Amino acid sequence: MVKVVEMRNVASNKQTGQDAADRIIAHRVLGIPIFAAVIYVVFSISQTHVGPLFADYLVGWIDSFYEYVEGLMGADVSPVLSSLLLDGIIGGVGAVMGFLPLIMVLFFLLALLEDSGYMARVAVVMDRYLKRVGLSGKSIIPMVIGTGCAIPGVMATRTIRDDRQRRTTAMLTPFMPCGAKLPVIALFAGVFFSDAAWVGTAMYFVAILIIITGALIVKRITNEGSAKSYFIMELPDYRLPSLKRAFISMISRAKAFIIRAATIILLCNAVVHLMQTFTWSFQVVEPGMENTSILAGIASPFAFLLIPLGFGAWQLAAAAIAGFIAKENVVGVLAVVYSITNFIDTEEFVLLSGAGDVADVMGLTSVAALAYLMFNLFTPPCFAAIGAMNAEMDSRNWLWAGIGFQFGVGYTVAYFVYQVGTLMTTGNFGAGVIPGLLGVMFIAGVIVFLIRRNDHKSKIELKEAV
Amino acid sequence: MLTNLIIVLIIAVIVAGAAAKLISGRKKGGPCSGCPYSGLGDQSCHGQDHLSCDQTAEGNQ
Repeated sequence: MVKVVEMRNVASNKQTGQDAADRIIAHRVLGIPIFAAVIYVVFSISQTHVGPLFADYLVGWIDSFYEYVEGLMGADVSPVLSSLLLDGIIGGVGAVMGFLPLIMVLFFLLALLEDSGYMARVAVVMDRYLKRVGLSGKSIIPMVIGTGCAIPGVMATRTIRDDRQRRTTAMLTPFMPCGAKLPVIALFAGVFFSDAAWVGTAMYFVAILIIITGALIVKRITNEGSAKSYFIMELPDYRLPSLKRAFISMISRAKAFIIRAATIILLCNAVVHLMQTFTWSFQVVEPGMENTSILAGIASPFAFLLIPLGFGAWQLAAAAIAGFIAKENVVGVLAVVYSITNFIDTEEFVLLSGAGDVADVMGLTSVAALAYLMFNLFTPPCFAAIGAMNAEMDSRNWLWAGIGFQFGVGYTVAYFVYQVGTLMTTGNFGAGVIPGLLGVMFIAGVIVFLIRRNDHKSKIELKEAV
Repeated sequence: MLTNLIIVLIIAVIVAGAAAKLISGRKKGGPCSGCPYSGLGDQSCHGQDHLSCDQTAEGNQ
């Protein structure tokens, strides 16, 4: 009886179907193209096929509501008030809300992937690369969480004990495209690249590349040995994902998105619209004299710095600045400053405005649009996420260095995308190539200076020790 | 004139409502947009001093 009770079937030496799948899906080389293919399919379904179908209906309703309110007000209402309500509030919020179906489909598919056990394999694949560049084995968790929202992603870094690894992870996590950045990606992919799914996919991989390069740079600057850490995770079995769970996840995220659109985005759009309507002497801006507005006055100096990146218009600078309050604001402010209430059916707008293309209205080429998108994605995150970075880094020096690094990365990436892209498409460099190059060289110079300074310090310490 | 006043009131109510929601959400610790744990009860990520995300991350290791 004892013999029978103590008999155990040990199956650890047998390869199950799950193990066989993991050998391919979580493979150190094959795992990357598989991940790229999966993300491409997810973006393709959400932004090219299913998402726009629902978005068309929603945008139709928003347009009808806009026209209904316009009709209700009549011609007697002050143009300033009418414009504030219609273009500033309804139009601005409506433009962001138009992307809700695309975002919902995307969240639904990501929830299905998570529930199927696939995302855990992605964490295993990426972990190998992150550890090699001096990050912790635990760094992958904040980055996976950061794809939803940078704030909890940064907060999750507190489980990393080594100070340098924790601070580096907190600094690099916001590069992952979060939920708030998805409408910006959807806008530029839709308007400038015919809803191409590669745009969203590429943004994830550029983010991973930046994180790996950034970790290497920080490792060289700090010149500290990494504490060995291990990422131990029990991989969940592959299973058929639950549609119910994915639906609940999608609804909860959609609710959060709607609340953001109806609060922070609405307030920002109203303020931006007022700033665009009045001059510094509080007179209504004359038609054709938009450059005299308060908004133009504030955004123009920043726009000057952005000329080498291909988007030196004050409207684009204003949208980028508003993006630091909440990244969805980029879409809302672009809608307000260009009076576009609908980014989904842009053909209708083009017919009404008489422009050849929405790109003409914004004054952007496709290359400049890609540079602008990358600038918005890879410069510092929203203020709330910066607050989380401050809390987790627990060092003013690291915080300011982190913000500086994020600005440097965003500027450099956008500069090279615009200038190299323009050279490839037109045969000439874009405007401001030399001043921009000086800016990029200054950023590189600061990094080299910091690396050399720490190398010098290390040598002195070594000599003293000897 | 009366129509303008009504429009001003409507705009004021909308803006005040948005601001009030934002302030109350901040006091309570509203969920982050797109947060994977948003609206999931105890697991939701409310604010910087909330530990649930930290616990979630630890739970994965």
